[in-house]
Amino acid sequence: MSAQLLNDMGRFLEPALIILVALADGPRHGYAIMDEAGERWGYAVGPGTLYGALGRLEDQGLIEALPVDDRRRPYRLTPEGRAVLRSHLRGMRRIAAHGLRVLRAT
Amino acid sequence: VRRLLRLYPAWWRRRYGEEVEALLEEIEPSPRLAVDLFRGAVDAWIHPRREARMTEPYRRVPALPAYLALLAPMLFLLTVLLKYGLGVPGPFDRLEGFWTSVVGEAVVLAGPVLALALSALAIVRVDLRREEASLVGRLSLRFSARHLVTLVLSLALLVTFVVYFVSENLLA
Repeated sequence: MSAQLLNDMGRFLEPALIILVALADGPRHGYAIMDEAGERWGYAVGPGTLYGALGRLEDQGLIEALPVDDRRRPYRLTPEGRAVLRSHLRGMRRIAAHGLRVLRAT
Repeated sequence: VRRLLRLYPAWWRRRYGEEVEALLEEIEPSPRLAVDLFRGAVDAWIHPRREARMTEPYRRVPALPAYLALLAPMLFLLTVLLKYGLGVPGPFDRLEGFWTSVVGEAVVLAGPVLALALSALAIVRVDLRREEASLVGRLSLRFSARHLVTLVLSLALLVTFVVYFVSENLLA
């Protein structure tokens, strides 16, 4: 169920994951998420894609919007969002570990 | 680039417009940004958010343009009924030059079509959203007295004109 929520995101899966990871550290507004994605991970995400992913995450109850502060609305991770992110990252870690093992062996 | 936000649906602009405008003030405009915003607009139309689907108002379409569009066809029908139904040819004959002109014919025929389209815009709402691998549509209707009047009048006029055309040209 948890993993399925993210897998249903289609082309928004990667930006959704970036958003969840950025919000794991605390509430952030759209520009701060874009900035962190670019600065920390070199992942360029435009506002059209970012807000497409934010809306989907909100619909699924994985993040929630906080009151607007100076024309900017921060978002934060919900407990379900935290659980889904943890589950997804663990799955990715297993895939990465297997892939690296295979690469080392060949 | 900020003008591209006008391409987004009203629910999106109400919900995200202000914060995205603030965000756009922080970043350099570029073709890549424009393409991203355009793709976002297409996505927002195809995949409305759950909140938007529940709160999206019907389009506010004024009834006056539809009433104006119906004036000439109603007048035409009235003068025809007076002449051929009640034997009062005066009004029709005085306007015959206009009714038989290209402009007159266009106004009489296009009026009900335009009024019907305006009424439909105000009455019908279609929500499209993607669910898993399917595109799901929901058709909602909201009837208001003034748009219902223009809908009924335009449909009645169109049916009358079509029946008249068929009986005069195809059945004669």
